[in-house]
Amino acid sequence: MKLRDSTSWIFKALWMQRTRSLLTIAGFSIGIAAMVTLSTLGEGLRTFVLNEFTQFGSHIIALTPGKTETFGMGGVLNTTRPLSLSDAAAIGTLPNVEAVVPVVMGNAKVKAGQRGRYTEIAGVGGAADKVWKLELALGHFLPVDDLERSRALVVLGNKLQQELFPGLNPVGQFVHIGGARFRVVGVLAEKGEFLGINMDEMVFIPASKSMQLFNRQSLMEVDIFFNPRVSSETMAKKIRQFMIDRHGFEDFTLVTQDQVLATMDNILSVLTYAAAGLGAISLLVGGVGITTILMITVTE
Amino acid sequence: MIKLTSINKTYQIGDTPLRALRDVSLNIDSGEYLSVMGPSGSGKSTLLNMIGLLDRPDSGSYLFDNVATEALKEERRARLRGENIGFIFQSFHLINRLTAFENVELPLILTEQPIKSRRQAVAEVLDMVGLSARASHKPNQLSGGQLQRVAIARAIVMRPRLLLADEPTGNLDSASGSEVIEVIERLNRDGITLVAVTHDQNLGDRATRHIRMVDGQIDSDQR
Amino acid sequence: MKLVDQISFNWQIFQRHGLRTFLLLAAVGIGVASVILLTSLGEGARRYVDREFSALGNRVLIVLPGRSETTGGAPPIYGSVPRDLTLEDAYTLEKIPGVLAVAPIVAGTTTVAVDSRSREVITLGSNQSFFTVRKLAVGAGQILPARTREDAMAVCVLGVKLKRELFGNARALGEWVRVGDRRMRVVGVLEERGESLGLDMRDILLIPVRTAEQLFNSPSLFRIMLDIAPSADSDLIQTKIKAVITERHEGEEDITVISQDSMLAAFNSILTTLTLVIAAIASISLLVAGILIMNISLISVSQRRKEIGLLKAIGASSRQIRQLFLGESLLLVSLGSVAGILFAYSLIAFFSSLWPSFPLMPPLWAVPAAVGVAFFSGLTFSIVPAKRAAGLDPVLALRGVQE
Repeated sequence: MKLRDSTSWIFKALWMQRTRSLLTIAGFSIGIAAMVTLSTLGEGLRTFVLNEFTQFGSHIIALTPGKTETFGMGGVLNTTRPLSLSDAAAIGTLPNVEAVVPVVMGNAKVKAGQRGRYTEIAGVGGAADKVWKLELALGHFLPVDDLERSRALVVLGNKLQQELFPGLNPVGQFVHIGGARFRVVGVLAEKGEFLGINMDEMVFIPASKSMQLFNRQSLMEVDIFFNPRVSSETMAKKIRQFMIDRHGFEDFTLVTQDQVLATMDNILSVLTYAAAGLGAISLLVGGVGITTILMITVTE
Repeated sequence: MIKLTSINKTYQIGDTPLRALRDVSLNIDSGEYLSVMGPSGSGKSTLLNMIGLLDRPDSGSYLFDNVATEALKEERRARLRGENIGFIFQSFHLINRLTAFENVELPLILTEQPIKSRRQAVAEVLDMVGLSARASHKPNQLSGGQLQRVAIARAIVMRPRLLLADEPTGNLDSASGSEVIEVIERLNRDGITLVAVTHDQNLGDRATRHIRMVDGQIDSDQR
Repeated sequence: MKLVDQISFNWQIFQRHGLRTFLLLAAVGIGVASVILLTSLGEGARRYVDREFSALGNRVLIVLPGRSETTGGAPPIYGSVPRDLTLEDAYTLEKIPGVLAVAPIVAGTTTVAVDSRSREVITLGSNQSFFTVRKLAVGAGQILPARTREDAMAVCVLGVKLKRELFGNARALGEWVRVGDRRMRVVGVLEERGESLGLDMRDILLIPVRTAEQLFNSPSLFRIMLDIAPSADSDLIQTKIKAVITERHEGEEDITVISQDSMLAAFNSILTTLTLVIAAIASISLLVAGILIMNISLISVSQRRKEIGLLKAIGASSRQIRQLFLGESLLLVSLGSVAGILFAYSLIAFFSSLWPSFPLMPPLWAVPAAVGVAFFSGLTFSIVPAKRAAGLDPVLALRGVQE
């Protein structure tokens, strides 16, 4: 039979039984739609999360104190194996390292005159705006100066600026954080949430000040940004050797952005498959429908 | 028992209307034995369906036992039909998946008779048509004459007062046909009113009243 | 028509079309089973969390240093604040009526070593109350001594996994381990117990709270956990805790108090929502099954025109015909549902025997909901075919004419 003939024969057969065909198609297409929609949602989520992670580029290595990965709390807990500012500064001098951002997070009340607000404090380095792609609405970011002897300067998140200095330009004004005085040098542009953290409510101060403020002996994390022409394995190896030389043994953990992405990708792929599987049940039932109808048609 | 007055019925076949019954009036008394004959398309089957309450007239009146049927609701007509009228068809219309017994039992099931009396009634009518031994056979295991006798048993299991037969011998050889005729005539002798639509001159002649239809009208009515 | 008669009538039809019936049953069964199975996953997760929490006791409050003023924002997790939450703060809370036990917690990571074997583990500094609040018990030896409340004793309790890693099968009690730059004597080993709220209790080191302060060179508490009396008013105690700490911190309310109940409620509502969403998605398959039933019923009606005509001729009313066809779908859905339920429960039993620790069990509403949706879908999609059957003209139907 020629293709045209067989096609027209099939269409005629379908048209003769159009209610039957229509219902079969409806059942099956609901199944397909369920599967496609759910897997699209899963895939969309995956793309979204991966984009969030790669927006700073993939040439990042995170260095945390301690050898074990303790559900991401490694740097947050106390440690007997501290990671110091001079470690961070020393890594900054390595070849191919473009920027180093030490991180010490905490929670404190920020006061300006009569107004005050408890919020998240991020102790960082002056390169943070560049590597985290933070945009400023007013003034400038923390200066890139000696990590260990920083001045008491602060950059406010957008929301916090509105809370503390409604309608005023805060640059040059002073705020109190945990009893210490900081001069405002800049205000961030609105940024929204990043992975559940509201950047607009953050306050950025130099890491060394943050360590003093919170009485911490160790940095929580050091983010190292390196030359994109160098592979992350090579870079991680160099940093590992360098740190072992400094500390005497491996009492830290290095996680490359590639590893984070791979793990994320795995988790989210499983999620996508699960969602698709959920939709596939309806498709399966639709398939059973087609089998049944075909069978009846054959018997007739 | 049956009083048809000026019955009209028109079917729409494609674009052309077909007048199946024109002004038909007919009285049938209890216990009569009628044959309805006539060429194809003369309206004899329509007349039978009308009498059997399967069809509704476009105009005219139909009194069944002095009850005006044309105004009755479908529900009520179905009950009247089920309780008073038995049908026999040319093609038997037995349900293939059911045994002879179960086929005969159907009308009793529809009217929710108790199981015990059901069994008894079915056994009685099967005995009457001489098929007690075939009760558990399915239609595909029975001959044509046997099939029609099962159909008769089903038609009379409700003890109807009217038996309508549409070409009851049309699909049978003459021997089986005679068997069937013998059974229904015996029922007529026992008091049932019998109306048979047929092409079979032999069957037609045996009736005590002969109706001939042409073009949707009663052409002759002879006793 | 009596119910038994109708069922047997429908059953004879099923027998006649065995394969078709089997496929329809499979369609309904798959739908019902998937709703039950998938919701039991969600419900299992909820029960798992529930059990984890209730292992702690429902009357636990957690005090965290720091505060977040963002409405609906996450509690401060870093534990670093300018004004430390101290051991003295914690012990003051004991005076609040209704508070049964106060467990201060200093948390960190340290290296624990025996001879050349060393491991880095999460180290918690606390006192005896920690065992009360977290419902922990030792499998060997004893818990931290009463004196650890104030004294920086050089003693420790090991998690079972840590004990195995350091000592193998050898006896650990009474032995010395190196923790950071100190030496401590092992006084107990925790009983075997899995993860608890994300913290692997088999792989931790417990030391006296004062010892931990010295070890980490910080007086700052990571958390305070409190056990409160079953009859106590949780909200009132939370307010009092905030008042006491605020007074001690020069008028600054710089802590967050979380109750076990509220955390549990939050988890519960998230997981219940998730389960409902999954159930709804799985129900789509029942919709598809309904469409399939409609399709088959329509075919069935057109195949059985003569039969319908006959039934009408022998006295069946339109209502009875409609009932017959609806009944056929209902019977199909009932049998399919039973098959689906049996299938789901046998799979659940199978998986439960594979993973006994996960409480796989459908929520109470799952079976009625699945069957309900199946019936709704089956009935809704049967109305059109049943009406079509009931509306057939008996004269034409008897002749087998397609209208």
